Amino acid sequence: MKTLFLGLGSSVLTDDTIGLFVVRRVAELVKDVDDVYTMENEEGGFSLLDESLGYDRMVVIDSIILGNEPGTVTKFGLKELERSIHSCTPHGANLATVLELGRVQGMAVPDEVIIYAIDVVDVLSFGEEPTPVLMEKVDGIAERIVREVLGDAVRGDKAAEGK
Amino acid sequence: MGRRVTIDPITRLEGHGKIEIFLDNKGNVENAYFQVPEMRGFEKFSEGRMVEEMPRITPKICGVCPTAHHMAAAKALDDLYKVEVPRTGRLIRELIYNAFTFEDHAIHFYFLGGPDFVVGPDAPKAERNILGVIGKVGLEIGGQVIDIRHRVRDIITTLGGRVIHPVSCLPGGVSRGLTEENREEFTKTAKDAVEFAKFSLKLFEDVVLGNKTYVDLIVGDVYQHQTYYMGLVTDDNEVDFYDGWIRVVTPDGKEFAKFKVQDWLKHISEHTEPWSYVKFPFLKKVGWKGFVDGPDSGVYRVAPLARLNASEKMRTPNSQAAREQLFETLGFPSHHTLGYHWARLVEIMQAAERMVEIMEDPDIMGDNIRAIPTETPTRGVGVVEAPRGTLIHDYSTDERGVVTQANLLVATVANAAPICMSVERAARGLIKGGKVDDGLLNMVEMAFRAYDPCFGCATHSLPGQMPLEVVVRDADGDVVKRMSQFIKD
Repeated sequence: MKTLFLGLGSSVLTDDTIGLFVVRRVAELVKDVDDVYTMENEEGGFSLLDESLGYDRMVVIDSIILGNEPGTVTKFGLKELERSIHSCTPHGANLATVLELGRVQGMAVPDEVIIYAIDVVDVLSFGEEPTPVLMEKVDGIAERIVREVLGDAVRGDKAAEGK
Repeated sequence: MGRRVTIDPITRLEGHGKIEIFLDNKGNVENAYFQVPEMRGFEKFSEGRMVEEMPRITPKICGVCPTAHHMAAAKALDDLYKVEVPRTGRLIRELIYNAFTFEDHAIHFYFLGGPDFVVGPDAPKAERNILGVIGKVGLEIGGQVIDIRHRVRDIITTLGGRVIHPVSCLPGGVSRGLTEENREEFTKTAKDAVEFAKFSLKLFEDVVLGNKTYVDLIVGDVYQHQTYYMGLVTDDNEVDFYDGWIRVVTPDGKEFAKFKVQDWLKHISEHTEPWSYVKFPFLKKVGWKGFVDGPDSGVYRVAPLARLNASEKMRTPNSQAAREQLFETLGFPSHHTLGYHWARLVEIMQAAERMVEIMEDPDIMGDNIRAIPTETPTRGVGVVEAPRGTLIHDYSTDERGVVTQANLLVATVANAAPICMSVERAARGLIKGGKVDDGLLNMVEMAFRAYDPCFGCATHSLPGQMPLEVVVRDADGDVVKRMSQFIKD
C-alpha cells in the first residue's frame, strides 16, 4: 500500500512547526520501508489535494488547538472533519473539502486518510521550532505514529532504535 | 439604548477571526466588530538575519499566498541594494506573478466566493461550498478549473524553483531563465488561461448579472461604502500587479495621491483599538475619524475593486472591455463591496493576457536575468499587489546587510477597517427585531468574504482553514446565536 506521511505546518510559527518536526523523525524511521514516503507541506488549501494524489493511504500530521495538554495526540479520520466542509472560510479550503472535491472529480485521492493532530499552544509567534515542552515529545509521537500505521512493517522496538 | 458591553482586551481571541454583533433592547444591531488574529514577533524574528533570507522566510508566514511575500521581499532587496533588474529577469518575475494572481483569483471565485452567487446566499449551509458549486456548474467545469490551476501553477513551480514556495527571485533578478520547452508549454497554458478567463466572465454575466436578485444584492445599500481606494498603477495609471506607483483616489474617483512606494510612511498611518490586536491603517492627510466612510474619513480600501477604482484603465484589451462593462453597470468609482467578485474576474483576464504578452515578448528568452548588487544596503521597500491588496515590505539593514528593522503591511490588515464597517453595515441592514437565522448570518459573512481576507497563520493548524466565529449578543451581553464552521459548536 503506497503510503504518504504528510507533515503540515509553518516552519516559522513556533508550535505550528510540530508537524514538520514529527514528519522529519518519521522519515528517519521509515527510510528503509518500501512504498512509504514522507513530505513536508507549508501550504494549505488546494496544495493538499495536489500532494495527496497517487497514494493509497495518507497520514496527516499537524497541529491543533483543542485545549488539551500540549503534545496530546488525537487520531481521527476525514469523517470527523465532515462538518467543516463549508465556504465560511474566507480563503483557502481545508483538507476534508479538497479531498472530497478530488473524489467527486474522479481524481486519484487516497482511499484511506488518517489524521494525527497534536495539541499545541502558540501558533502566532515567530519561531523556528516548537516550545520545549513539545520539542521533547517529537520522537515519542513519531514512533507512535509509525508503529500504529505500519504495524508489522516497522516494529515499535526497531522504530525506537531508528532502524 | 441597550446596555453597552465593554470588551476587555483579555477577551480578544487568539488564532481565529471573530465577528461579534451586539443587539440593542429592540433586537436591532447596535454595534458589530470584526477581530483579526495577528502574528507576533515578526520584527524581533527578523532582526539580526541576513536580509537575503527574507524572500525565503516571509513566504512561510502564509500558507495560502506565499508568492506575494516572496515577490515583495525580492523587490525590497532590489531597492535596498539599488539594483535594477534586467528586462528578461523582470519579465520572468512578471510571468510568475501574473500566473500566481490568475490561479489565486480563479480559486477564490469558483470555490470560495462562488458559492455566494452560483449556489445562492439562501441555499442550505451544506450546499454553500465548493461541492455545491460543482453540483451547479457540473463536473466538467470543475475539472477545467482544477486543470487550468494546475497548469498555471506549473509555471510558478518551474520558474520559482521549488514546489512549495518560490525561491528563485534574488536581489537584482532571478536565478533561472526559460528553456525552449518551457516557452512552448507556457505559451499554450497562457492562451488557455485567456479562454478560461473569457468563459468565467461569461459565466458571471449569465449566472449573476442575469439574475435580478443577485444584481439587487450587489447594488443595494447593505453592501456599500464610499471610501478612498488604493492600488499600484503604471506611469499611465493602468492596473499593475507587480510594480508601479501607489495611487489613491477619493470616494469621487479623483486622484488624491500618487507616490513612490518608498514614501508609503508619509501617507499611511495606523490606528489602534482596545478590542483588536491588529492596527487599522488610514490615510494620514485625511486623518482617522472612526469606522466611517466618506471623503472626511481616512479609511481606504485595497484589492480588486479598489485597484480598478484607483486606476484609469487596465493594461490589456479584453480586461479593459470587461472593466468598462463593470463600471457601466456599477458606476465609477464603484463602492459596491460585492463588486469585488466581479473585479476579481476582470483581473483574471488581465493576468492571463499579460502572461500571453510576456510569452510572446522575445526578451523572455534572453540570458541576462540578473544584475549583481554592488551598493551598500541601507533601506529598501518592495510593494506588490497581492490578490487581496497592496502588500508592503520595508527593511532596514546595517552596512553588512543584517536586518535592523523589518516592517510588513499586509493587504488584509489594510482592509481590516473596511471589513469591520462592511460587517456592521450588513448586520444592521439584515438583523432586525432580534431575528437571527443562518441565512441572515451568511449574508453578513458575504460582506466579509468579498474581500478574500487572508489569515494565513490560522490555515496551518487543523481543521486547516481560518476558523471564523460569528457571535450575536443581546442587550444584556448574553449570546443569542453562535455560528462557526468548527466541528465543535
